[in-house]
Amino acid sequence: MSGTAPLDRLLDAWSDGTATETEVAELGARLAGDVRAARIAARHFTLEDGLREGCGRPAAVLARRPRRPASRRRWWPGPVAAIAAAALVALIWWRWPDMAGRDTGLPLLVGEALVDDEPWNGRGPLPPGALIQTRTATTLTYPDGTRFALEPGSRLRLDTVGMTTGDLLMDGRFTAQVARQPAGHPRYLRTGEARIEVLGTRFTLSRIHGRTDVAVEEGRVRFTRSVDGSSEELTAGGSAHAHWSSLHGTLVPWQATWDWRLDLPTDDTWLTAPAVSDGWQRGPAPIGCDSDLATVWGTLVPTRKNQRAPLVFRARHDFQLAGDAMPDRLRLRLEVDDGLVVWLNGVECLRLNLPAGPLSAGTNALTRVSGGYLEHVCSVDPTLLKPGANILAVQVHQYGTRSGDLAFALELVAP
Amino acid sequence: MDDQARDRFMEWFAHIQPALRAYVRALVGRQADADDILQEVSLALWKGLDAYDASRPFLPWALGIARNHVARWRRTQARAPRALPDGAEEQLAAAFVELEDELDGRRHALRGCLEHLGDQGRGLLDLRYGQDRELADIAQERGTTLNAVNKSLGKIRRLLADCIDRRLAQEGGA
Repeated sequence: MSGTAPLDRLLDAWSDGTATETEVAELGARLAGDVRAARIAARHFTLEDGLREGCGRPAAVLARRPRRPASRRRWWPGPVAAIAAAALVALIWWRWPDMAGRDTGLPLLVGEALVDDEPWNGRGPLPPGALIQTRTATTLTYPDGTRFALEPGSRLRLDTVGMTTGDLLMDGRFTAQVARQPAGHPRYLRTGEARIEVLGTRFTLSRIHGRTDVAVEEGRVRFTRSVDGSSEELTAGGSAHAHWSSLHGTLVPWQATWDWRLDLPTDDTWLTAPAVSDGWQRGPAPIGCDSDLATVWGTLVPTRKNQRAPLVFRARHDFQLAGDAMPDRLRLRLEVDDGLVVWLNGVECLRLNLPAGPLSAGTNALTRVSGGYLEHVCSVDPTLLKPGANILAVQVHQYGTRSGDLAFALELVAP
Repeated sequence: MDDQARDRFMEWFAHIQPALRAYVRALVGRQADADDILQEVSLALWKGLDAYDASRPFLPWALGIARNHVARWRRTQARAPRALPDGAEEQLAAAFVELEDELDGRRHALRGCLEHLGDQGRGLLDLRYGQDRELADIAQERGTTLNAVNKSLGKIRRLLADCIDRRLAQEGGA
């Protein structure tokens, strides 16, 4: 096509995937250099997006009423939808004993969300241990009447064993209306930084960037920080927060720079060598590929030729410790997809989601981490530290050859 | 960030979501890839609340993050996907920002125009956009050539664009 091709033809070719390299170059030049062309393109792509939305949804969507002005829109879909949703929940709740039994302790979901990476079909209680990723405002309703109103973009992992440890809020925010719990059997909720014990109340819980906030509107909750066990009872109007890093001396920060490489060594000298040899690359954590951990915030490692993630990679971070400041406690917080081993100064201090014994490039993680990452908090023996140079090393393994994501990040603190 | 700021964020996000979606789809092309990226961008915006300067417009910030995600996604692809040359993606984002209100109006006008489209046109749009089928695939199914499908789609898009222009002109003059 010549340099004078009509813009609409270039846009059509681009949209339909039939544009040649010359046409792409010409379209790019026109958009970059001509404001009017960019406006026409914006209208074209808006039309296309409207067609995708219109054709990809039920016909009723095409005829829906006009949206309210932006200033009046809220996450709650309006009284009619609210009544319909409530009726739906009530209907399913009424039928629930026949479907799954009231003693499942598992909630129903109303809203648009992924459950274990799949769009939820909206029927029946969620499975135990499910990972919920909300796309819109989403409500979970438990058999006892407890309701969590989750905001879009939140991630919550349901308890795997009833209500003994509590659902885990991984990211995002929700408002909880917890029904009165039986005496001696409080409901628990968790985040990476805190545990909340509830007897029956209304409160808001959020977790953003590793900081947990709770604000109580009614009733009482007990808020316990994971890292040091400090606890406080909150009543109506009360609030508290827990932030891992701000409370402690951070030895290895979350976004520390690591040396990393994709191959495995022939021996263990890399765990304690004073410096890395040639062939290592450097980058900030989180490190990995095709994971929001690495894609959003950290360092991307290359995929294999088939676009799958590498099966394994290793990384190490060197840090200094003054001799007069040796901590007597160490805590490790990490997120990984799928499994890893952590060494501190050459001594293995954690093995997560990997089998015991020697590891090779073909060693797979024990379970697949779907829809995000595995979060873990643990203590580490502080006597492994030494004055001066210290080395923290990790080896991250994939669940299987077909998996596309692999990543880790961690933080080592001295409480 | 306080509750009020969070509520504002939710409201802004709901408002800019269509423009954000259209922009990412324009850059990426394949719907499934675009949807994956959009999900990541939504999460990144949410996580990046603390870094957002509320005194500045929301849409340019969101489009900038989206552009970075698309670039990162391209780097992870074994076969380099299509990409516009330097400057074009930024200029396109600027147009989305400049025309934000107009594009919102065009989106609503499109719904009315689609109702007047014939079955033949609707069928073709459903194959291309509803089912995200390749043009060659559609041509094979319909027993025609790729060029014919290309022309038909282009014609329908222009008809719809004209219809939208007319509707907006009528609304503006009403």
